[in-house]
Amino acid sequence: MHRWFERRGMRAGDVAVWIIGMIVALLWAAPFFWMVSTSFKFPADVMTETIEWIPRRFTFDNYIKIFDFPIVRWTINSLVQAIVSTSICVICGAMAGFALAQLRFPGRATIFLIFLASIMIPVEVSVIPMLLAFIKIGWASTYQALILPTIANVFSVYIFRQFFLNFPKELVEAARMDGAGAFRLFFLVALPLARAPMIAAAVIVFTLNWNNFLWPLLVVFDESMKTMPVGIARFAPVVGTHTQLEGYSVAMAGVTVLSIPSLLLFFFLQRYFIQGISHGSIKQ
Amino acid sequence: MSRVEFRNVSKTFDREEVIHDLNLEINSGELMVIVGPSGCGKSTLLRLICGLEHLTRGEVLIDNQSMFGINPARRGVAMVFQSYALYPHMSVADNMGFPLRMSGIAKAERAVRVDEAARVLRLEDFLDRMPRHLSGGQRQRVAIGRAIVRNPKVFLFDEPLSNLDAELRVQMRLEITSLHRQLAATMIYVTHDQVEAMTMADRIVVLREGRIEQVGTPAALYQHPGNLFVAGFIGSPRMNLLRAEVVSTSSSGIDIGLEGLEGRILTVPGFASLPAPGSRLTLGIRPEAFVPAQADTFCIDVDIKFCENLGGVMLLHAPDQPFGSIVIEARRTSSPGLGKATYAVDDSELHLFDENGLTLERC
Repeated sequence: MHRWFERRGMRAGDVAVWIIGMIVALLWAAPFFWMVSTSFKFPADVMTETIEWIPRRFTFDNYIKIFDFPIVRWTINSLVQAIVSTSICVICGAMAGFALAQLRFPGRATIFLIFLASIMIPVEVSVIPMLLAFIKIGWASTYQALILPTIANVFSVYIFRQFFLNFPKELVEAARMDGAGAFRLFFLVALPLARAPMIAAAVIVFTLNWNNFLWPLLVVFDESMKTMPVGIARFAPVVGTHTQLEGYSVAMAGVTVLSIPSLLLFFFLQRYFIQGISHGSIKQ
Repeated sequence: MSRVEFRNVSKTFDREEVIHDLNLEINSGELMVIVGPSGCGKSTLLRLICGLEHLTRGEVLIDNQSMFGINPARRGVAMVFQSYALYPHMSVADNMGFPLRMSGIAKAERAVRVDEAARVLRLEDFLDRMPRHLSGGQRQRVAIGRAIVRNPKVFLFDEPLSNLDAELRVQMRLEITSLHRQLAATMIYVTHDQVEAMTMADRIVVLREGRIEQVGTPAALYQHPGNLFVAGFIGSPRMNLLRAEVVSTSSSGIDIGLEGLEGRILTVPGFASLPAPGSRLTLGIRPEAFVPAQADTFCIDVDIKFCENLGGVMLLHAPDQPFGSIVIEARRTSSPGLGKATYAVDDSELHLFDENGLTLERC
């Protein structure tokens, strides 16, 4: 054991950190593992006296049953909402982050503070007035209703601001000397170099949008405009009944499918994601 | 070709004045080098010319036109940055063509001008490469190329060679000097390296704490430094500075006694004004002004502790002598090596500075 740690360049102090880290990681992974495991169980095996982490009997029926619902339509709705919203959110976040980091204007610090403070306002506070407004202008159950409230994301602005604070001053000055105004400086010089924060922001915002439940649940009244998370909630409709028990494993199959895009995104882009979060510098 | 002028220029950062009422004229077609220690305000002067910093007071003029309120891109100046500031995501050709693209120049004309600059800088084979695939010297040439394509009135160089190794620095120094001759353009070059200043400049400005200490040709600054700071700053190795006192004055010169060499009198001839006996002075002796000891001349005994062999010459270091520390530049063939030695000084190469550090003018 001692050699095993030594080969990995770990010292005695690191071992304790490693063990705590592993426990935390397992705790985080447990619900995900439970979800995948349940998605392959028969309804009768879902609630058992002893916890079955690995199903005794495997079935793919739950994955077939999800197609009894208009899941393709919900997936398209979710994709449209998440992709459009993420694209706008990343571009707007990058522009706001660049302005807050690189441009000099009165009230810059105050605006950033207001941005940060807005995180402290719970979504539930603003969601009802917003819903009433959308109903009033006739936008309930539309794509614009799904997309518009999600295009502003403070975290995206924050990631870009931190990145552009460390952006080489000489590049900005060289571009200004070369005749680039604020927009061309942003689109031709700054944005192409902001790949890492762009990917980090895109992964985070896409996941948030893809998993968004409350707002689509409230604003969509039409079955054909539902998104995946809202649709999947229908799989286990009545709490505390036999129907709920039966629907549970189907719901887990639906949620497993729902989690695939976010997982794939993170899996393939994790290198850039970590760079973006840790504000990696620009190599000239 | 253009003339640049600073008129009563002051610059304040956070209530601290870093440039103090500065006046300077840079002639058309001149390669002016601004030199000084770190933090003396030399880069700030460049940034004031190109408009990356705003003046607190005074005026910067290019061709007698005030630059007040004029956008950096419209001043007709191009800057080469210390870190090259190449756009990492653009090829060499795109980097060089970027200012032309910003000016709305057609693609075909851009290509012609980029090719022309690439030919001058011998970058034709690298136009499709990305900056990360270039050496330091090539990157620097691309940065210069980006300046050339704009055909600016004034080139500004902000310590452009400080990131290069010693050999490449010498090569780039020659290339920039040759480019200056070829383009006959006005160039303002900032450096803290006085060797760069001496070898490249038509004229040098020595700056200290935001004030001009002296302006002149490299030879003038070396041979006739205006004060102690310039005397110590220009020249490598630096001038030996020894404390002295005026014993007497006569028509043949100023008789001085060196601190630590009591009872010995050195007569320094040829001064216009004679200080009063008893005045404290500083005697400046360039390392190469020491000559082998001769009869009937003022000689000093030194204890040489270190020798630096530079090939043709040796630098002999004699620290902590009774009269101060001395560095002597001797021909390799006549170098005595370590230990005790006696040297005379060439009295025509001596400099005297008064108590305020100002040079006593020779007649």
